[in-house]
Amino acid sequence: MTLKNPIIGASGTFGYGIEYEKFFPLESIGGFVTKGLSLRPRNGNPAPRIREVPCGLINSIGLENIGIDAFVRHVLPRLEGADTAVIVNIFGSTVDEYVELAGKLDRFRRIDGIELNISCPNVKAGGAEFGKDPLVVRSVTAKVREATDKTLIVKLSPMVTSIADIALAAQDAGADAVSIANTYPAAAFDLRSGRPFLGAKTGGLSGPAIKPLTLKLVYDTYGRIGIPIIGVGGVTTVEDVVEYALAGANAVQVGTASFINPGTADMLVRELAQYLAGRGIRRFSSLVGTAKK
Amino acid sequence: MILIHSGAVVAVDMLGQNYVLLSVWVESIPRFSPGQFMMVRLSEGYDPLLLRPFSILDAHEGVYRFLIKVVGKGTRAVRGFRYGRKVLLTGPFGNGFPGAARHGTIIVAGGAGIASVFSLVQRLHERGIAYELLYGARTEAELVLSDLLRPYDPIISTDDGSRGHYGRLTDVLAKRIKGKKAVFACGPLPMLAAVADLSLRHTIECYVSIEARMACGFGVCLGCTIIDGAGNTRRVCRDGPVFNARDIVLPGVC
Ligand SMILES: Cc1cc2nc3c(=O)[nH]c(=O)nc-3n(C[C@H](O)[C@H](O)[C@H](O)COP(=O)(O)OP(=O)(O)OC[C@H]3O[C@@H](n4cnc5c(N)ncnc54)[C@H](O)[C@@H]3O)c2cc1C
Ligand SMILES: Cc1cc2nc3c(=O)[nH]c(=O)nc-3n(C[C@H](O)[C@H](O)[C@H](O)COP(=O)(O)O)c2cc1C
Ligand code: FES
Repeated sequence: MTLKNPIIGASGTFGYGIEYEKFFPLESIGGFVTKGLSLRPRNGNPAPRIREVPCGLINSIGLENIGIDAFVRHVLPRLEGADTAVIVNIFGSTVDEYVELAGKLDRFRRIDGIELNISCPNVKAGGAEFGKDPLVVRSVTAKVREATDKTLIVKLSPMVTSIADIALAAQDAGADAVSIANTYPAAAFDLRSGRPFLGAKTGGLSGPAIKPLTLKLVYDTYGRIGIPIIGVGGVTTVEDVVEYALAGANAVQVGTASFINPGTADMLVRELAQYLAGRGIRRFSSLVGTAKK
Repeated sequence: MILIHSGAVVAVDMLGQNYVLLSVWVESIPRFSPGQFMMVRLSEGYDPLLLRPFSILDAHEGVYRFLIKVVGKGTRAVRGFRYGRKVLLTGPFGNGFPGAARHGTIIVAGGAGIASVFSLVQRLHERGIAYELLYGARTEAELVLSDLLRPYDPIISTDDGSRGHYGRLTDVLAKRIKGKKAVFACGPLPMLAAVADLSLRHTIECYVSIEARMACGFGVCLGCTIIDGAGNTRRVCRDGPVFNARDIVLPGVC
């Protein structure tokens, strides 16, 4: 999979892609990642599912999704004409489920890549539990690798002792890239009721608040692995994109910022081109990891 | 249709202590249905981070109006908006009230809920379609839209009797619902539940506009999901905010 530019819509914030067609032509961005899909549809967590904090958003959606079959039947055909990379984010509660999901997606030409979500803080089984131990990451990734020839991206949890070790495990097992990272486990409490704000009690923090944390994870991983890093956490402005590149990201995903302005990803593509041209930088890739050199 | 707008504040009028009538100029007003809403950015930085949903009160000659009740960080900031301030808006989103062009509609608005039905009332009035508008609040001080509503002959009530009928909106509705074709309501949840209950008992179609916490407003974050009567998920921002009262679960309605 090659991207025409390094801007990607992040899972859970970009719907199934088609929801954004009314804001801008999908072909303007490098690609997008679908909402996390499971074998069967899921209803997700009880309301309220979102709570704002200064500069950030705590969500506890709980992977509500239409299920893989509805996706390939009803959504995928509508993406046929869109000249952009379609990456499907998958989530299972057992290793076998991940393998089955990847196997089902493998036959669809329109799908360019698969992103393994082993890092969701909002579900009990699977999710972030899979992402904590390098041995488990290696084994899930290796089994999924056998089930598909698609570009395989592993989305890592930020809540690990050594992110580089986890990334290495994914690389060794055959991953083509890693996304760093998912949301950070977080909580907020209501003084009036004395109870958690969220129906699921806790959630995952995203948005500008997490950018410095995730930048550090990208920085720590850069140089330790040979496969590309996709930076995801708080990207809102073109400066954020460049900062992620300096830290070592080959591409970025735009998540929460699309809620502030649904045109953000499209805008970043144009602003990045201007930024680079204005400074005489020919290729975005020449910036990657330069802060570490 | 353009759904991302860069607007400019043209007026900020305080209505009583807690409400602001915000007028925003945008380059091209898209067509909207009564009951639809816009997401409005109330900050310049990242706090508050997200846009806020507000019903479109009305839109004329390039100017959107919103009736905003001051309840928290974002809405407090609106009081300080100055002429010319830039505001980002997205929308219109949501489904709006259906089949509005019917004689014999009764519209029930509680407190800030008037914002969501105001343009509906305007349109029915312009088209000469018979309707009744019930507008109620706890006290007179909260009936902030009374002046704007004068041409539409609202039947006013307050819980404390400070203005209009003494009692709850639903008591007024109970006396007038017979023979009506449809009930359209917006207001606090317990009021909507009581309105729905009453309508269903009279086998009159009832549509309610409900609220949920929203992050995106256009169906992708799944933050606003509710579980409907059949156990399916529905996004308030996209499948609503107006629902047939029969399809959803309101507290206390069976
Ligand atoms: C479809 C829709 C249409 C709406 N139309 C209007 C309108 O026309 N006029 C109007 O004044 N308000 C309207 N609201 C409610 C309005 O969006 C909230 O009052 C506003 O987001 C609060 O922002 P804040 O930053 O001031 O409050 P915050 O600081 O975020 O919260 C303060 C208080 O407001 C409550 N609140 C926050 N967000 C919401 C929400 N989305 N729904 C219900 N309660 C909330 C919280 O429970 C909290 O107690 C609408 C909501 C929806 C979903
Ligand atoms: C509402 C919401 C839903 C999300 N759903 C998913 C998901 O289904 N799968 C996944 O891998 N990540 C999911 N994420 C995480 C984002 O893809 C991203 O990793 C995270 O939000 C950090 O990026 P941001 O700060 O740009 O939002 C979700 C995030 C949000 C805010
Ligand atoms: S507000 Fe995001 S899906 Fe409804």
